[in-house]
Amino acid sequence: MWDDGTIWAGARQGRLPIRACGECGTLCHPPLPMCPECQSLAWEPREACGRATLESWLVTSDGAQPGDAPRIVAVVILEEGVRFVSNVIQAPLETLREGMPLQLCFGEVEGKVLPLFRPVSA
Amino acid sequence: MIPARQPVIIGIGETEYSFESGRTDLQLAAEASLAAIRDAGLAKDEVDGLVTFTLDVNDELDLQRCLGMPLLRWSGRSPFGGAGCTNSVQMAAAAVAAGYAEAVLVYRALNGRSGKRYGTAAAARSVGSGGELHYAMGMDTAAKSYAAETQGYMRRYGVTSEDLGRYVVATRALAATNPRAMRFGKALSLAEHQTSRWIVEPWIRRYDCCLESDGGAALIVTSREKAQILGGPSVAIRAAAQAYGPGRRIAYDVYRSPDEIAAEKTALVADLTRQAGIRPRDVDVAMLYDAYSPGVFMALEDFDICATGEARDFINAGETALHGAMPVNPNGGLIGEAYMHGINNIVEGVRQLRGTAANQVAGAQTALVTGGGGLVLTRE
Repeated sequence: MWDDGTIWAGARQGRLPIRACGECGTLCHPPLPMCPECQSLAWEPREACGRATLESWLVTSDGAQPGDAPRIVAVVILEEGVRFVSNVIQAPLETLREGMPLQLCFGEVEGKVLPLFRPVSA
Repeated sequence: MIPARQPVIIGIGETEYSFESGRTDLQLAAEASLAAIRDAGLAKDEVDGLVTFTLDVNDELDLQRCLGMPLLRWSGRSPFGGAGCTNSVQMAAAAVAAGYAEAVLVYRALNGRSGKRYGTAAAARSVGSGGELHYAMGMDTAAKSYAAETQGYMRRYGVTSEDLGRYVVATRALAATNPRAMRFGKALSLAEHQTSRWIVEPWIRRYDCCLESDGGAALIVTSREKAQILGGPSVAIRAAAQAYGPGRRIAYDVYRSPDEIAAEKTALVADLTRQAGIRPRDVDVAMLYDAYSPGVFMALEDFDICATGEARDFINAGETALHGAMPVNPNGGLIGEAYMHGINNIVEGVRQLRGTAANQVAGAQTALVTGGGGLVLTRE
């Protein structure tokens, strides 16, 4: 069985595993139980290389979650070709640009280790 | 097999829209439904179908008992959140066309402000699969999801918060002269829009968002033959379509490329055109789903009402105003009238074609209504 628990477990070990089909190799994120391309139920984790580009971003300044400090939420495109929702750190809002190169890193938010991204230059 | 029949809308009904209704969701559903049945000139034993959204908390059989309907012959619910507005009408129209029911009541009732609020992180957490992948990252409300989905459009065509503001000011001016609107008598200035707080910095301000509303809205779909017997004003459902492509999600639809999204819109427009025999852009009035103001800009282009990237100029030139090239949401829309998950925009579309709207588009014969899908309505 594959669910998002695999991603959180990977993050605790400093890795970002993405669901890859065990038969045709297609990446699927968010993970589904069946490969959208070949309908296989087999899967294997493929570790993201860590390089990504920024597609969209926003600031969580609305206090939607209790105790939530404002952070930059982003949709990034992993070099492997899938999009991933994460946070961008070490980058002021006004420096963000569509397509800017990012590097995977890890950080703890509210007691949970999350796969995060920072500018390549940072 | 009964030959396909032309479905028409013959009744519309609403409660008042407010921030605190002071009554249950079921009472709101029953009041709006009864108003629609009476407006249609139907007896309670003539309504034999019920369609609503999966989101609606009311039980169909509770509503049936309230209304005294002797026999429920068709029921269904539309998924996909607010997309349920046009899709639920499609479901009702299909039942009537096939002869499974004679008169189908479409309804949506909610205490959307005093009860469950859809704008919260808790509400968005449970929509679709992979919820924790978004919630843990702080992508946790409908507004944030929407901001992520639409900012690429805004950047590509240079649409600024001030551009959004000019649309909001225009739609609030329409709401201000619509006595049914929650923003009746409350026009908004551009300065007020520009100084309103960020809901999602730096994309969506408070006044770019639809209202949170308590209330109920309903309509009745029946056959043209039945409508002719009843004799009241009727509006034909000339087209009812939905189009969901691969990889689509209802919340956090951020995993697709712009090309994949465009293909879906192209399919929707083609299906509406094929069914209606006219293009969506050929209608006299457009009811565009405006949960957030950028949605209007994108819909104007998706439905070819203006050219790609030109919605900003189209709006700034006043073309979406009551006397413009394509009047949009003369009721003030979901931003200015109420948020009945779009059913109130369909009711307004019917009212426009009857010629009885507060802000009437002169001589309107055809209307486009959008939600997750689309409807083309024509005056009978």
